[in-house]
Amino acid sequence: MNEIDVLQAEASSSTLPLPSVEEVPLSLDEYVRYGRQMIMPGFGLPAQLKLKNAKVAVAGAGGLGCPTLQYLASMGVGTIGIFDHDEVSLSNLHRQILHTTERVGMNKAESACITVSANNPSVTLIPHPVPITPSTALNLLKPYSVLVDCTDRPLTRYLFSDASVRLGIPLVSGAAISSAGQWAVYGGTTKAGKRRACYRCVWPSVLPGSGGKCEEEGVWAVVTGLVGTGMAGEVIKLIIGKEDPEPLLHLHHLCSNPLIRTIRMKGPSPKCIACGPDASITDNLDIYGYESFCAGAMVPDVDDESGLVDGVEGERLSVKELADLLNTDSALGSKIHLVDTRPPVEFGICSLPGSINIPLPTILKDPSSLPMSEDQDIVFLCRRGNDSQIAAYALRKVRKEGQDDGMRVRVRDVKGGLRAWSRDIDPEFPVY
Amino acid sequence: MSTSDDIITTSNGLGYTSSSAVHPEQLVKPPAAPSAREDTIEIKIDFGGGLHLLFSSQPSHKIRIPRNIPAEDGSTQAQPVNMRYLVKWMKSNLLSEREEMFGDGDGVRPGILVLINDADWELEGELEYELRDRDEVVFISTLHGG
Repeated sequence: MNEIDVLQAEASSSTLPLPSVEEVPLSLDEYVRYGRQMIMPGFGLPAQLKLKNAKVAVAGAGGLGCPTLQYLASMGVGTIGIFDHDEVSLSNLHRQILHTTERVGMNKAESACITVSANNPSVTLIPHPVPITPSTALNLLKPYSVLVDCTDRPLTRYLFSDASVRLGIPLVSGAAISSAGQWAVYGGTTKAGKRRACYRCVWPSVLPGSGGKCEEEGVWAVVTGLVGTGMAGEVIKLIIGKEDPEPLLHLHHLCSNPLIRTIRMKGPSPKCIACGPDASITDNLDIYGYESFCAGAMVPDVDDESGLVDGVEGERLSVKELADLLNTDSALGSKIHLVDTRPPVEFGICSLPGSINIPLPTILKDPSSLPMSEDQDIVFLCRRGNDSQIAAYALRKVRKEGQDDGMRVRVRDVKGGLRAWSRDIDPEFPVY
Repeated sequence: MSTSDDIITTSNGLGYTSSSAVHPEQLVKPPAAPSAREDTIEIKIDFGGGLHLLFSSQPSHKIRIPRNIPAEDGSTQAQPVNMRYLVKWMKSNLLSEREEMFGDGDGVRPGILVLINDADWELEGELEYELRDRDEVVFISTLHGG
């Protein structure tokens, strides 16, 4: 009897035990499951075992996290920590493809686990429905060998980079907004022993206004999909030792040719405060002050009540007051000009009847171009009550500085904008 | 009304370039022959990550600059134009917003990544890099959405 016959004889005999899992590196199902990637030259069983033993932390189970998690799990990364404290919302679903309509309101890390484990029950998923903060980052991330940043704001990007430097492990960091995206491997060392630039080396400071959010600027689902997929590819390549020998930064734009532009990144910066020889950032990340470092990047969140600009009493309308104004004035437009300051594309999605669309940039360029007459007040309206207030402020300012045409024009804005209108006045009015 | 192309290419221009998809004829790169005018060189400049907003909202520019740095003291020593000259040239000829939004000393402000022919300009000599005809220079800032 040859060897195979012996094995078959043993397998068919109920008295003889099969080799235990410890003796076979993968389960028989796993050989089948991963067969199509294992048979690739250069992949093989060794790469699959590296994946199985790998521990990867993914922060953010959103637009980038979903495709990243999907492929890390399906390809067999053995342990995946999923960090997201946010909940699934309906406006996520066009791009965050692991979540479902049914699971709106569920924690994103938990929701992602459900879908991902349905695809591959053999990987260990550890959902963390808690935020990663400067004081908790190192402890939470210590067990992992690769960090993946799929978050959406500068603060977490720099925190993750610093954590990866402190832990000495590579960071795969990506971003996407509108029709553009970028991703790269930062930190850690290449196989040849060369240190990579960390995120801070390449992006030492945050440009004011660069913290654009998908909620404000919009995003193509396929762009987050492509970037997240690219990031998963980088993670897998790192784990199985097929990483790029020279660190690369990938830039994607949906309408560019080539679709992805890949550029050679510089080495670590000797001036870097995280990984340079005179680094000032230590394991005590809590004292660094991420909030103030990133402060310039974000457009400040505005409180509906107080707003962006100091408003004089009586210059702001509630949606209720606007509704009354529109009701008493059946022929809308004869007593007030209701000016909607949103971009034309948003005005085209939905608008209040009788409102006219003059986008904020047009108003700011030339506030005096607004329709103005003695007996007509101006009321500015926008999506959430921020831009309308800026418009009102700009118009008041030019009217105060000269332009004494004798007209007394009352300028007001609507608190909370169309969101408040939909919430408090007309639930049938679309919120987008 | 906007066309479907507009939806992508003019959304808010956060890409480094969008012109080639709209004008496929540009995909065919002309041979790297010397430009017709020997005393100037052609440089392609692209902006990404929203930086085009500082340059008349135009994501892609093709400019002509002198082949050699114009001598100020009448010296005849010909020095090829470098990135230092280009940044200065851009500030006075291309920039539509305040200088401090783009420049920092002779260079660009931290947070803007400069690429020369698809490499970080630190790998190419930064401000001292001597520009050649048809070089491509890209300025990008990082994105944060996800």
